[in-house]
Amino acid sequence: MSRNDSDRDEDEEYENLGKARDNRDDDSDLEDSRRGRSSSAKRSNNHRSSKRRDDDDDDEDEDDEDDEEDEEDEDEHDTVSSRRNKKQKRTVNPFLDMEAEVDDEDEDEDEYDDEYGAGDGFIADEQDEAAEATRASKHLDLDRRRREEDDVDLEEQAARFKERYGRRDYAPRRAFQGQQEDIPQQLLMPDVQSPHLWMVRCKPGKEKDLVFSLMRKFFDTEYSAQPLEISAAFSRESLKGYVYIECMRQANVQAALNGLNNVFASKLTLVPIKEMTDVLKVRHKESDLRPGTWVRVKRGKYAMDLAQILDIADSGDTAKVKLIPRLDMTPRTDASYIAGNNKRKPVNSALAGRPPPKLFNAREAEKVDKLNKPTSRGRGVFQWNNEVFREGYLEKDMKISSLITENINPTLDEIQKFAKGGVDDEDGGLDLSAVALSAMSASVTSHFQPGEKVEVTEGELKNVHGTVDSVTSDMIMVRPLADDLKGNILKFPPTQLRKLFKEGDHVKVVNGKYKDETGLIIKIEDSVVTIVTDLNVKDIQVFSKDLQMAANVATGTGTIGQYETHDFVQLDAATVGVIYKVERGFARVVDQSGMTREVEPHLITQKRDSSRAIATDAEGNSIQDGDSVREMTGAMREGKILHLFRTYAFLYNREYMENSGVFVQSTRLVVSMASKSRAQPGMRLDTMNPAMMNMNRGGFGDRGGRGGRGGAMMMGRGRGGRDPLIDKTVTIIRGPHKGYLGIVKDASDSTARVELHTNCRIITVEKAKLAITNANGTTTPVSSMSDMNPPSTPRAGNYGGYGGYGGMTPVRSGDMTPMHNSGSRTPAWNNAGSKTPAWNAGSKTPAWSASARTPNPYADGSQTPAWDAGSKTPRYGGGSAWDSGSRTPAPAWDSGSRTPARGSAWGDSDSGSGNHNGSSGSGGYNAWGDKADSGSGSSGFPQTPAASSDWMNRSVPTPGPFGAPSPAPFTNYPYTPGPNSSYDSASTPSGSNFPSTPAASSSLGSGPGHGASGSGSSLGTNVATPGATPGARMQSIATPGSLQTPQTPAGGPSAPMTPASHFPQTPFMPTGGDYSGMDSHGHSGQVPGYGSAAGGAAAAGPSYDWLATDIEVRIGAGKDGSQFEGGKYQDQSARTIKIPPRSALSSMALCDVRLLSDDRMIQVPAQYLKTVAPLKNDGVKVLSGEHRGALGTLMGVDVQDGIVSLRGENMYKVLTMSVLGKYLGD
Amino acid sequence: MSGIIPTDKKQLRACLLCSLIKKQEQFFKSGCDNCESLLEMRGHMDRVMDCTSQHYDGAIAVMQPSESWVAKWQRIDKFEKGIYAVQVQGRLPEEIEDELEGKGIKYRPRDGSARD
Repeated sequence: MSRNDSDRDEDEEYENLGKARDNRDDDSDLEDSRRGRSSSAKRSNNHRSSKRRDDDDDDEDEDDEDDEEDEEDEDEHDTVSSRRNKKQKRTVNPFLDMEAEVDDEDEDEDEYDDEYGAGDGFIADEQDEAAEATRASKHLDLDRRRREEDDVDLEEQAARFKERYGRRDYAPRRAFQGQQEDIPQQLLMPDVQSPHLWMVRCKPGKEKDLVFSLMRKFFDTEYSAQPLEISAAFSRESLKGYVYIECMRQANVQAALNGLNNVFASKLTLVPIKEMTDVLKVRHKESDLRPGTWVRVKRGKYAMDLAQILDIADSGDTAKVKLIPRLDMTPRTDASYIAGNNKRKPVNSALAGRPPPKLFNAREAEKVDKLNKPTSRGRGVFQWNNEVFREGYLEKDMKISSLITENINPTLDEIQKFAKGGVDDEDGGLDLSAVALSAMSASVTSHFQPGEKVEVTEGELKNVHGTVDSVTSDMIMVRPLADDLKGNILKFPPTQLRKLFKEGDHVKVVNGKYKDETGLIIKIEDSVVTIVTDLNVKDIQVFSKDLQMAANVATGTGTIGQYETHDFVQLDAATVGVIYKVERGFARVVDQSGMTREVEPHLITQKRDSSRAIATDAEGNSIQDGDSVREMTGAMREGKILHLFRTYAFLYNREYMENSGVFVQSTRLVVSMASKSRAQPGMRLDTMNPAMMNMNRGGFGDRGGRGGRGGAMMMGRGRGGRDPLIDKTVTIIRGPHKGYLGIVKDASDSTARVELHTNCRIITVEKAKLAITNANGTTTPVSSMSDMNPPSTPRAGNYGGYGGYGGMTPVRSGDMTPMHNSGSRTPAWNNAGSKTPAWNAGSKTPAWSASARTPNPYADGSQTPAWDAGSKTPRYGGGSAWDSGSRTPAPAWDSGSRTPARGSAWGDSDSGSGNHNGSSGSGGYNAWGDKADSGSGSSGFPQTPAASSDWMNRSVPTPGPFGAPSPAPFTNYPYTPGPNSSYDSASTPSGSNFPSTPAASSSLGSGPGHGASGSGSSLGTNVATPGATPGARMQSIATPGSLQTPQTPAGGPSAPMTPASHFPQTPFMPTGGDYSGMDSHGHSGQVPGYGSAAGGAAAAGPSYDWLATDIEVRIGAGKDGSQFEGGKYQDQSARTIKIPPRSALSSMALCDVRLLSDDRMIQVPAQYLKTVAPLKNDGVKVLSGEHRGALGTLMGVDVQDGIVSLRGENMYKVLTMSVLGKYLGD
Repeated sequence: MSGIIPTDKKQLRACLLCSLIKKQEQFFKSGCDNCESLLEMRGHMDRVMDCTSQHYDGAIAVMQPSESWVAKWQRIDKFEKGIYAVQVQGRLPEEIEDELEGKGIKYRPRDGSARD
């Protein structure tokens, strides 16, 4: 109603009246008129003119109405006066309407004023001068009052004019009032005088209804006794469940809400003044929709289809979009018409069975629907079924609310479909500008990363290059490169930037379907970049926004679906394969036949697990996933077993390029290389399954006696866990019961319960006080025997009972079998049989040495070099050692047999049994010869003096046991003469042989020698079982050891049997040592004993070959367990300064080293020095192999391999860690 | 006076100039209560469609425009009592904006893009 009566100050009022810039003049006019009490006409004119000006300002275009206004103005007096009657006080201006009306209340007042004024002069005439002065001041007062009244009146009159003016139109056609001077929003902030804002909870969804209701209620009660005393009420979409009411007092709110539904008037919250503006905050959402923008359709037939906006209605709620039509192009019959008309398809099936997107083709459409042909509108525009198609695309008006406008991320594919022209468009190429546009519009800040080079694509700074400085949620700060812009940081929306690349850049795709591909840029066309991928050398096109500079080369994702590289997959019932490469959309698989194929993930039936699969290699050793094996044929490739499948092993070696290093080989054609992992007996197939082993071995052995042996083994094994002493007849050799005879009923580690023959009493006796009574009346102290087969320790049990045996079995059992058969031994053997385990263990073969590890007399034996070696190298040490011995056989043996020393050694032993006896070195063999030379004479053994001595020591006790087990033949052999007496009496072949490996060889020699020398008697016995020999040989042929055996031909028949079998093996050990030495993998270092024992100095050479200057070494225990200077420097690190020449390197060769701890120089024998494994980034020195002596840096460690960057070479080398020493030089 | 209130909630539109909310037919019949002199929507449906938008946020029932801080904040304190939107999407067509400018009225979009 009252539009002008806002509380403004005076000036504003005037302004309001005479909005014109010249209102000052008006004011002065008014002033004048007031002061001069100009006529009411003039005054009204003034009013009119001011009003007119007002109107003119606001409604300049309504000149035509001016006349009307004038008329109105002329009526003014009447209206004003008439209204005044109805209306309140003080509305009358005495100067205006004096003549017109007088009878108003207010008028009276005015009249009084007038009278007052009129009587002025009259009174003045009558009063004195003094009175005049007061009257003058009263005049002033009155004047002021009048002026004040005037102000009010003018205002009200103006309002009245307006009202009247406004009433003329149907809708209030009055001047627009919204225009204001720019009042900064800060000045509009609420203050304490502002009405309060109350927040009221209401039923969500009913907010707007409530606001409307309140409005209605307000109008309803506006003129009632209790009008709503609220000034405003509002709701916001974003503030669900709340209505805000603005009023002065809380009671007003409650009054207003009284009687309204859906509102919880009890929950009133006063909005703090500070937060009032937040409630009304308008979040400006820049409509980023413009023609060309990509959107997706939310629902309907085109749900999720990409669409391009062609035009947007000004109201901003609808847009014309371009779509690839999905038209049902099945020809329509009359029936389908009817059906289509009558039946409405269910909504969801419409989406499921929607036609594929295809550009509209008018000719097709004609065929589809004969009744309703598309009508052409020219220039490729058709109308069909109320839809408009332009150049094949559908143009459709859609509500923007039904479009998805954010995070569209159109793919290049989709965009290409749009970029293609109409159906007849031949070139089908990319409309680059369109694509670029779309690429831009799809660009978001997250695509940019600080540091990236960008180019501005729009605006004033177009083509400016810069680097991204930082990225905010919607803006990208760019540091321009141009000189004149340097130092500034400019802000751009992502749509105005493009990533800048140049041809030849190596990039990585970070988004889209080619995500994670890397490649080289070969072509750049605006935003579309063509790159050649590293992985499969294909051209792909991507947006530059999806690229990032990348140094690394993608190796492929490595996974496809649930499968990844090196997975073992089932392709079909008969085919399995290993994925060797994963590419986009498919995996490359090599199947068990070695064929490669490309397989899509859905063609893979399942993933298989071979982690528990175990197979046997050519040597019968168990192999499983992760083992390293080598082919026996062809390229002799090495590889790690990825998976096993029946008899196929899928191997992997990254060094092979073909099929990314994955290849297939039959398990029968590979041999296991790793011996270390064999140390666990539990892993052994043969130990686990004797039968299996049997078979394997049998395959090689070709022996007739297999079964027997197997039995023996089984038996042996059965005994494995049991103290062999049990059920033995023993003699108590010390203590109060000395001399008593009894049978062992039970035994523990150190004691036995013996049932005495004399009185059937069972007494507990320390084992050490017992001696086993052999069949032939001899006795063997139990102490030694129990040592030989320490059944208490499981391992020993294994070895003794079975493992060791097993290990040796191939050769040995073969050998024995015949013997076994040979009646001559049988008994003894049987006897022994009961002992077999022990015996086996004792058999002095490594297995035995293994047992030697367990503390017992034999352990002593283990100190002999041979033993040492044995016990130290896992190979020799455990039953497994044996295994490995017999496993690695092929190569080892081969090589062994190739080395002259060996052959000669054997030859030696063969021919030279006599030699041996006669003079150790008679043979021309290196090894043996050397040995003999170096040996302290008596026999070859001496070289290993310790050994021999040990052996001797041991042999002292041994005899018993040996004798015991191998009563007849065996005892004959070894025991009788040899062991017991002396070594020299090499005639004691077997016994001595067995125990000390090297000695074995000698003993072999001696064995034959024996034969030669006529001590054949013993041999003879053996010979008695000639058949055995061949068997043994055969066998030995299979196993390396056997190879050698054949070399003991002469003695063959006689000696071969037992000894042969053993010997072969024993010597092999050394060979093995040699071999490993040759391996340069530092095995030699581990088997120095071997070297020395077997090969003597020659063999020892390689073991310290690794020593080099300027590497870090650690001072540790020597090969014999001794410590340098009593452990004074134990575990200290030192730097090698001076190393003896290679030729002089031996275990005792003194090396000058400087302690790292205190820089002291000391001399340490080589045997105490150990390499220190370098760590990543350490300098390294290559200690052996082709790069021996080379310096480099260790870039990384991969299990046992180190990746080394050698100095002066650009390539990385993969070298075994064991050949790397930590280099301390510069 | 009550002709200014929408009769129901269907087809509500908000004036792009003053943000008054009325039904589309109300705009058509009587124009905008505040802006008719400028926008002349009465009787011209196309003008109604151009000058009003159905996308708006919030509804303010203004009972006492001159006293209300809310109305002042929204710069609708000089307008009629009625229901106004807090925010109206869209802008007046450019030619109308030009017209307004010719009349000395600076168009202040109600979509939140105005800054001060």
